[in-house]
Amino acid sequence: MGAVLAIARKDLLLLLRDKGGLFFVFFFPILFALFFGTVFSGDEKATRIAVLVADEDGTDGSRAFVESLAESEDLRVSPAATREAAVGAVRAGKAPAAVVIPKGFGERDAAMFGGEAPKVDLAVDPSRKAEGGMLEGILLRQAGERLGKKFTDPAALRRQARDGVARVRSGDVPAEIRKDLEPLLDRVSALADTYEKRAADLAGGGEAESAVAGFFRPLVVERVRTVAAEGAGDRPANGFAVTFPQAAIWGVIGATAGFGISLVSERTKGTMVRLRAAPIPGSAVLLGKAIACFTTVAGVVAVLLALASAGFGLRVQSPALLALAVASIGVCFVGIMMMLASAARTEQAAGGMGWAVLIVMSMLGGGMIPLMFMPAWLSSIGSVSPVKWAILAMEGAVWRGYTPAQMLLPCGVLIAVGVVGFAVGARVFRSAG
Amino acid sequence: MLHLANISKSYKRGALVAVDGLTLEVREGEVFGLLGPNGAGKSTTIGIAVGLTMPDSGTVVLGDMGPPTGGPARRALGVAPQSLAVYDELSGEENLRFFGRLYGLGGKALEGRVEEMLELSGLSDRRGDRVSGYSGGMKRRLNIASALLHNPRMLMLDEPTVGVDPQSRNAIFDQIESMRARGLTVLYTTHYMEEAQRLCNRVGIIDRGRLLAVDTPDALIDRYGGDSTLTIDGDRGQESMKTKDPARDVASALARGGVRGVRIDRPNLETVFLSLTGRSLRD
Ligand SMILES: Nc1ncnc2c1ncn2[C@@H]1O[C@H](COP(=O)(O)OP(=O)(O)OP(=O)(O)O)[C@@H](O)[C@H]1O
Ligand SMILES: [Mg+2]
Repeated sequence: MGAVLAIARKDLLLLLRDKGGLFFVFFFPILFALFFGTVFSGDEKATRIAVLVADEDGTDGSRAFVESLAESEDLRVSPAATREAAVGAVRAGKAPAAVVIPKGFGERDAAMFGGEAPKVDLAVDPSRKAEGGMLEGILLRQAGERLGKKFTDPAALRRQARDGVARVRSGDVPAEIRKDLEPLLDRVSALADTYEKRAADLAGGGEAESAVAGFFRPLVVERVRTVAAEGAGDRPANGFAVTFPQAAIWGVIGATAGFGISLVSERTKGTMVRLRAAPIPGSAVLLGKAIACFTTVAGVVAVLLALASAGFGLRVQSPALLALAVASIGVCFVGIMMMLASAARTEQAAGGMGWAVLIVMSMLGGGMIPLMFMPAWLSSIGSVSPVKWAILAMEGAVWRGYTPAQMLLPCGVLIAVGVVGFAVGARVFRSAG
Repeated sequence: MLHLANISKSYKRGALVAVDGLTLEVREGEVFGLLGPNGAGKSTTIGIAVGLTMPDSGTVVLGDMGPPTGGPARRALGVAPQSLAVYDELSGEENLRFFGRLYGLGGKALEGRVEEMLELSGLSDRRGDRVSGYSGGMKRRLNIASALLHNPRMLMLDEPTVGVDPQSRNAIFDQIESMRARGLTVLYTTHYMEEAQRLCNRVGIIDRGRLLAVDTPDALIDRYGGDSTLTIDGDRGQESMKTKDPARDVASALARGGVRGVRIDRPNLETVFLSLTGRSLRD
């Protein structure tokens, strides 16, 4: 055991002396976590969708609509002088999206009964598909809310009823529809009266809106908490809670590649000969290397998560389960390290192959882009990547609120990969002599 | 001390025979030289002797300790591999300490040995520097020192002077001569015949995996070296001749007169190798 520890200590010392290795194991992951953490959760306004709005209509209705967009928490609205300016900016890649409110919007907007639906034109940068979809949803939501308001404002309702009757009688509307619409509009006028009366009864003026609010809301969406409370009320995990575990994976990958290369270099240099000639069991050499790799992997994850909880509002729900996750990740990547080292003949091969394999694993497993942003088929392929299970294990313990039983799957996969990798690697090493 | 009996080892499914039916004994207390060109099978033989390479056939016995894979045998062996077995990013003394620990050394005993080895290899004043900053010769000396650290009974030195400046080479020679004086058994491989001639009690000539002859350097030269070459610079120009007794021939030439200079080339291990294989040691 003394020899195993001596080897582990030597390997850790070598890592500490290797500035390039240290950079990849510790500093790059920290930079990664800080950078993407800031992007995802730093400035609220920075994550809103920027949209140019050109109001060609210039009516009360269109202005009110623009205002409602500007008030939306999801958008950052800037005015554009003309349709050409707005659409041109999108085409040139200067703005992700533009909304043009064409002439006639106000008129159509005012005519709730009969007439055509109000219409806007939306231009989206083809490279920002996701934002385009979100933007369409936001526009419809704003329109829905405006509709709800119109139905609950007695004055507006009465005006709509009056204008509607006039429009119906003017003859644009087919006879059979007019037959139904006229009595309905009468009832609408009556409804406006009822609203007013009820508001007066309740509080005496002023609160008419709140008295009837909710009667005409097309859909209320309420977010259900999927993430257990993080101590501070029901604030969901912030961006750093996502990016720090992800970044820890980069450190883990750096350590795996680094120790894999160092194991190969023992072989290409003469040191392996001397280690194997020493009066220690053959397994001691691999075990020592494995302990050093495990310590580094666990250390990287611990350092990053400690940093995240010290300075970036990350709260670890279950330290015990986190310890389990970290240990499983350590076992897994020690196995991967052994497999890489046994497959490569030279340090260059180990480095090249190691990084290639690990980066693909990371890509598939959500170490670069979170799995939720990937197409379904791709994210299900991700299950073959240990990186996916490593991230899941960490998140399970940190903020997903996994039970010990739920931790079994990711941790079990990780440990199985590690054990198989170690066994295969050790076998190849032994037979390579 | 070390008995290799009928050792064979081939690679590439038998297509490349590295060692071919080699039988060899290294006696207690001698420095035994294995002299041969590149690819002769020297390193493979060492690998088999220390139990790291499994021979296809043949047996290896290390004195009363049996095969070299056992614990006591390993403790009794020191190996300085041809490719340097030192960590560049550790200092000289850190390297020594690490290898000492592998042999169960620790505490005061380890520090004492590290001190001695640094002294012996002339690295005391560079002990704290990273090995990456050492010269080739210093690395070689450290390589040997860490093989000697645990006080082995037998030392394997695989081409210990490759890539070494003349000054370090002399320091290494001194190191080996002092080992010989202390009665350490050494198996020494080289493709420099001067080294074998100067340092070794006995020399084995190895080529293409086969041991062609074994004896003391003088006996090998007497037996296979052939005649000396005598070159006389005289009135009638230069004249070369083979001779068994160069002294007598020089005397008679001087008696004839008109001699401006003479040169005697005595046979050496190079000529031994040439006469055994028909090729030169360094091609
Ligand atoms: N692991 C191996 N795989 C394949 N061939 C090998 C291996 N080790 C040695 N050989 C081959 O066996 C032969 C003997 O090699 P060896 O290293 O023993 O020679 P050497 O006498 O030490 O040469 P040098 O002076 O160059 O060190 C060479 O042809 C070499 O290419
Ligand atoms: Mg060799």
